[in-house]
Amino acid sequence: MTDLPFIGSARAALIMVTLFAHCDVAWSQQAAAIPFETRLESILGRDVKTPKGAEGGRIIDVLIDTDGQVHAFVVEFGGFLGIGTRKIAVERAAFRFADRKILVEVSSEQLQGAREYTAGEPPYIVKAEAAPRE
Amino acid sequence: MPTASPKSERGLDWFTFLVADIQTGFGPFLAIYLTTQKWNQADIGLVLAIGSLAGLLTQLPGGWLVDAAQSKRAAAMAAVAGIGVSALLIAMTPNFVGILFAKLLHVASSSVLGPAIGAITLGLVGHAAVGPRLGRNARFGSIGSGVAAGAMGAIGFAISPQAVFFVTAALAIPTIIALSQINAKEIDPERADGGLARQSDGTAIAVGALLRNRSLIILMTCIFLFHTANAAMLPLVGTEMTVRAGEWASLLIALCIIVPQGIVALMAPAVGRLAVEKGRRPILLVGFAALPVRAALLAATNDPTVVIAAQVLDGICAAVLGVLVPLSLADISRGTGRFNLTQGIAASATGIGAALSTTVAGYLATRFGTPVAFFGLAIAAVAAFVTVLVVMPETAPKNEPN
Repeated sequence: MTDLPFIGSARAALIMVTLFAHCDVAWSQQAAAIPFETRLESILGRDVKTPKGAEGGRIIDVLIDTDGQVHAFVVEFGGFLGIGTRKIAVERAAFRFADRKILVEVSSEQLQGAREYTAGEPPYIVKAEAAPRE
Repeated sequence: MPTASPKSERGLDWFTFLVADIQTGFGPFLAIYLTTQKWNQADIGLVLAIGSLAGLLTQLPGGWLVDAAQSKRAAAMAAVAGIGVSALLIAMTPNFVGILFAKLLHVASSSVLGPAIGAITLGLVGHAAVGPRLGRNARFGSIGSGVAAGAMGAIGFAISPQAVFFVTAALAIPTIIALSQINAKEIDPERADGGLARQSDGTAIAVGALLRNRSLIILMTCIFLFHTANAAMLPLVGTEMTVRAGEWASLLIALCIIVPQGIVALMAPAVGRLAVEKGRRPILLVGFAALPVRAALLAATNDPTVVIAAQVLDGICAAVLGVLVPLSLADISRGTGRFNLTQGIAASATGIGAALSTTVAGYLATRFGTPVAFFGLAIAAVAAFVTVLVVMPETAPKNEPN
């Protein structure tokens, strides 16, 4: 008869554990969309290269429309010690993400013909492989 | 009157070389570094704009401070330490407050360091010998800039942009060591301010009276117009290179930076000597004439050979102005005790002109294309030359020994 209170608290403990287990499940269901192993980081400042390695730059901005759809990334190409860089908007579809590297499938000619990106003006977006359009 | 020992002169050589090195990373490269630190463009623009504005405000107090300082070496040493700390902060605390503070520290330190170098130079060798010595400063400064451009560019590419700022901070130590090689007793503090020969009461001229000096006003106007024309040229050239030259662009831009430095390294001491032998005006006219020619060349074509030739002209301009501006300021401020304040005023004129240049040229290039931008810069360059031709007086003293 002396262990009755013990059984009582053990049952209480069991109920508590079950409750907490449910909380745990609820949490991980909300967060389950992204597995813990996936590493997330900002896309700003990431290096990009054209497939042949001829041109290189960094992603410096993301262009979205009013629905929040990502249309293009702005890449700062070229330059030396920060002199002579060009900011060019390239459509999202031109980017290939593999491993830790980002490739942008545009040609040097496309980049040479592109107009620089200026915030507040309709952007000139370079398309993957096809002729650039405004 | 104390005279300069060879050890002090060597120390000054190394000091100007190393100062040019530590200043290299703080230019447009800082924006590149901030993008790699995940900054957005708005924040980068804001921090750089605040830094530039603060820079314009610190030039005059900086010059005034160096005049007032008893030990010009101590002022220079503090300024170098400030720049070193600034570089360390940039490398280690790349958040908005950290970078803002680092930038403000940097511009404040630079505003002191610039005039301090002039003060140490003048205090060391005196007015009679300051022309060739300024040429020598320009030589070592340009070698430093050229070497640093190559080295920092390589470090930024091969290691990381952050490494550039760690290296810059580390370089502050040899810079201070070089400064300590200059014997403080050989720097005459009164001579370093320009001397007080013209002041009957033995104190420095009132600032108001200084600002009414006609030669000073004209020189400031010429400096302002020159930099309004000059500052935007290299960035525009760089962008054109990136457009036309593809993967060789970075190398060509590096060449465009280093070639003028090489020209200055070769020519600057000769410029200093000629300015003493022939007078300041002829040399100034050559330097100011080269600028419109350069603008015209760059407006006309993108051919890399022509662009490099234009950069040779850039070197001539840089050699002339690098020597003649401090020399003319030494002439004009002679006997007033305000040499360093005039250096601060010249630095302000430079900064305002440069800001105007990049703003207007950027607008013209975006709206009407790069040739139109170069044409606009050419107009400013012609205005600068005409001002020198028509109104700039000869500032050399009449009885200067050859």
